[in-house]
Amino acid sequence: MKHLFSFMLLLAVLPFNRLNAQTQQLMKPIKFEEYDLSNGMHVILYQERSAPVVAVRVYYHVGSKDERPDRTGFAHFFEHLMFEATDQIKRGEYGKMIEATGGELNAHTSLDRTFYQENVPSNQLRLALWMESERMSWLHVDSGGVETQRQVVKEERRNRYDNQPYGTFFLKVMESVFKKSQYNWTPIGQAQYIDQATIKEFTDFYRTFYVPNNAVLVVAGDFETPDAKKAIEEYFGAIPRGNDIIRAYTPEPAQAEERYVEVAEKHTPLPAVSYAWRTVPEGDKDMYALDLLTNVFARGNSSRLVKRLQDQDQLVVGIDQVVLNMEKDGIFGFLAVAKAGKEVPDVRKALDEEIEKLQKDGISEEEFQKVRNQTIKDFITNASSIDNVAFQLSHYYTIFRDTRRVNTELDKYLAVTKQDIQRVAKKYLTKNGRSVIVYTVPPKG
Amino acid sequence: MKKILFIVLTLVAGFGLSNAQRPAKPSAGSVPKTVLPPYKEATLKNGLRVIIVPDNRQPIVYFRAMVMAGTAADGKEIGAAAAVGSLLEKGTKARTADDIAEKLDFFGATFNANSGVDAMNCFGSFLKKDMSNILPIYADMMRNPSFPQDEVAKYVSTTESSLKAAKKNSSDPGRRMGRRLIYGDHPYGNFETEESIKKVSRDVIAGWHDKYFSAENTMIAVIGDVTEKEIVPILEKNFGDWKKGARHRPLYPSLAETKGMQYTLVDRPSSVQSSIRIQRLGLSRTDPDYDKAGFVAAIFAGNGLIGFQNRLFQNIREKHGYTYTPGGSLTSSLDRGTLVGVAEVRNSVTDSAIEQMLLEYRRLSNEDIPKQELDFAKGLVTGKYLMDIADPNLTGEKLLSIYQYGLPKDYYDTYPSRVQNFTAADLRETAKRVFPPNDLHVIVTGDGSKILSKVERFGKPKLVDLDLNPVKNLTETIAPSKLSLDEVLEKLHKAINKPSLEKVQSIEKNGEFVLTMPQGELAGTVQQIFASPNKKYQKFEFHGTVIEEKIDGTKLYEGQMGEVHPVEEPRAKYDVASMVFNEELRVKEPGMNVKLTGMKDIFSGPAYVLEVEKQGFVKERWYVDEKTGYVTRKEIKNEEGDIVNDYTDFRPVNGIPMAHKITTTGSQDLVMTFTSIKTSLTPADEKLFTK
Repeated sequence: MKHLFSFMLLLAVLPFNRLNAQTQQLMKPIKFEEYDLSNGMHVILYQERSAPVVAVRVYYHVGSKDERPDRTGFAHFFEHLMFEATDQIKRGEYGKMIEATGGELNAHTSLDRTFYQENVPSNQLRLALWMESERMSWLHVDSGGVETQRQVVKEERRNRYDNQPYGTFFLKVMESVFKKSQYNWTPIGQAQYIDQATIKEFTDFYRTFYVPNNAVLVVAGDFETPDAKKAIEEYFGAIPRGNDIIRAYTPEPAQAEERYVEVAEKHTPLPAVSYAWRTVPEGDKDMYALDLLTNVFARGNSSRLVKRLQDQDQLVVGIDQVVLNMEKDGIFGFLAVAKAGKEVPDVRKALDEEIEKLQKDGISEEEFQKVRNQTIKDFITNASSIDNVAFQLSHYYTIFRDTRRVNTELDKYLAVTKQDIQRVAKKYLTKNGRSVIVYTVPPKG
Repeated sequence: MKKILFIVLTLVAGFGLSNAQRPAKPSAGSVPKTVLPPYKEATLKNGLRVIIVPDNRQPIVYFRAMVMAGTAADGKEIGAAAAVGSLLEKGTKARTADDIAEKLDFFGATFNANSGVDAMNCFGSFLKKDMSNILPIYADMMRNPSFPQDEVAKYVSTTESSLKAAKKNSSDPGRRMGRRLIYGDHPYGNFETEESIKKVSRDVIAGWHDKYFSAENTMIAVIGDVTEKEIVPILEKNFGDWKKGARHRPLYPSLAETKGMQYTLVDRPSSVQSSIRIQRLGLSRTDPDYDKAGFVAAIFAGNGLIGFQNRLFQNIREKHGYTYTPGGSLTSSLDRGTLVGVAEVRNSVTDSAIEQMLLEYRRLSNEDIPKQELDFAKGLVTGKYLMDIADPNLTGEKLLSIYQYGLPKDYYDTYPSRVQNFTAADLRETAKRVFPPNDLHVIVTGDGSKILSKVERFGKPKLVDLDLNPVKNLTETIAPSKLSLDEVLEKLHKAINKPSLEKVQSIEKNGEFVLTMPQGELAGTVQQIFASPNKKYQKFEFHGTVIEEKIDGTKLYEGQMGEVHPVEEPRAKYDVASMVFNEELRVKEPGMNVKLTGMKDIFSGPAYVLEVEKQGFVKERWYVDEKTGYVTRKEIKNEEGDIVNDYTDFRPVNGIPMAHKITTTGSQDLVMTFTSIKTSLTPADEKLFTK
């Protein structure tokens, strides 16, 4: 069960967005500097010298929605390939070089973007920059690396999606909510497409998206600005600019009636039900109210659904928030896993009642203050972590070309009224607009 | 030609610069200063010690209170400390559990309490502006918990089921055995069991709390956007009048050195993997060699520091592919901890994996660590130390540990330079003293019948069961039978009323089932219909789901919600051959083979053991109860482990005794309880058994 909830948590992480007059008193503004290299790469520097650590992020504006429908899984596959060899880094050395510094490295692919990160002691900044520049331009896209990573990605699919209870949940939600748009599929994609693709297709993908004009570099933490700028120019400055990227996106048409999906998988330990609605892209004015709404419903032991379904009615072992704020669209919903011996219809009845109640009566002043307080706490917690700040800086630049949102987004949340929360609950959480996804349980584990 | 070569080169080299112009791998800059952030110390009126680490980057505060008693202070009531930790937030004299949850949620604050061996840590975080709202709640939870009876009961029952589940876990029995071997009656040897947790009553929990939660025995660290001036008065207000109490200074019995090689096999029948644990008594946190030994442990097995480049990982996983997650550590505690290396491997490589792990132990004493590996490890360990400074919670933990263990004040500040000065010769001396390779406990948890000979290659193991009770030996004792095969069959046939049963053409059973999985229990209804010749229909229903299985005598079908499909070989062949209608009456028919091997004691008492073979490849063992003549157990041999069916609650149905309860263990735990069994003298509807 642990796996499920940590996975869901990933989905539910609220985008940590904006600040102004009101916010200034709460959150100390993030001071950063930004500029472009001549090849179009955007650089953001955030100095924070309380510990001898520096975070390097390279954020490429490419995700699964940039894939062809018959080549899904490409963006995520590249995330893996980027740890293979470059001209000057041998296969298997990439991780070891960072590990040797005591540092950490990671990468992640979403529907909209792919990012790479290294956190290293500050005397190793040059190493991390050099390594990122190596793979931005001199990655070996050849059959050796491709073959190895094909197997690794298949194994990942088996372990994380096919063999995990509810592992396919994210896939099922996206398939049900999006029928026409590129959000229909998720980063893990379909294994056969990766097998079918030729080396030339991989090389083309690399040359299209892994170019400096499609990348943002963030350096955050303990560094001397002139040194950092010099090293960045040295390692990235001479990488040639790529072609401008033409992106195809098919907007999702409105949904006319409820969609119902039943999932029967042999690993499902307990029945589960999810409601999911299509909402709005990140940054839309209604997103802020929806983000607060999800917390009224399902954040913490005192939230409505946890109190009603988990404590009072003892119907579920847990409720997860399902919130995805993406570049072009959004999702709002819940996933409830029933307790052994409890039935999905009873869970749905309680869910329906709670949703209707909120739509009819709105939320209390106490709840309103609570979700505001929680949001403030989130922003401040995130602002005190170099990791999160580095992520947000690159994210806001990439999605909005507006890095300042790191300091202004909280205000948008604080501008939401109680009435807004009730209004979005009525507007989006409709019967015809929802997808209902039910996991059934087989008798054998 | 030149042109083509150029194109090939640029293809390989990507599309950037040519190699000549390219920057080479940079070298590291000078190592940054590595001291813990500056901090202030204060003492409240009642003697409570406080550490303040100011950090004003954002208006947030982290709170960490260390109560200096942990699970080792449990005494005879094992599990008391853990219960206290879990129940602090479940109600105080002034607040209900709901009030606490509401308030903390309202401010977006957190609170957690975890018990370790020597101490309990309570930690939380909140915004600076909420300081005077949150600290009174923290203080109330720590000072006045009420441990409501219903919350205690809830806690005990959840813990009981998780302990039950843990026993099935592949590595947990080995871990418990390891503690018993090293610590015996020493309090560090305590571990919770299903029995021990029952003794943890409300009084016990409240008594533990009362004894150890006090000002003298607690130390608080506050890290974040606060100054000494701001925080001390608030702490004084909330904790200053807390009872003084006394610092808990445990006196532990001395521990015996691990001498010689000692092998233990924890029998876990039908386990598909072996969990190997090689351990010995370690060092106390204050031992002068602790840092060096911890560094050697990192090279050996990770020790929470070296992730992929430690020797066990490189050897066991990378080179030999025996396992996914080998690892190990040198634990830190007031009294002496444990050095341990672990690996989970498939049955067939149990011996090879033990051999490689022992080899890695020996290398630590027999060889100098090569320079390249030593430099790598030093860089990693000191670098990781730098990285940790960025985490205020880790800083709080480090500062508290100085006090807890009585370490020198500059212990952490000088740690990186001490590591840099380790030499291969020093480390080898430490390894010889601390990790002597011929004084180890080798504990293997796995299927004894499959791995005993593999462990015996190294030495004769002590055999224990999952409750760690000694087992005489794994080769089972089968006593000579008092009856002949024909006499046993006669007894059986008489018991089950052969003359009546022979006339029966079909049997329908209806009832309930409970399937127990690690995630919880699943319950529903079950229907089984057996019919002549060799037909079976089975249906499980739960939460509106219907799962069916059918055997029509030659084919097996399976499916859900009314749709069944043929099942593929080889399983279908096996299941079809297994299905023999009224099989107790037909063991002498063609295609069946039966032998009597002797007598054995099982759950129902002494029983005759029949080895039954169907179609030459389905192998089963039936136990015929000596007293009643009923078959009370059938074991079905399977490559993935045996399936055991136990039959109880025999009651007559039309004069024929039938088991109304069947308990299946093995690949899954299933209990079927039949509320109605009907026999019929006419054949059942054919359609039921086919697609």
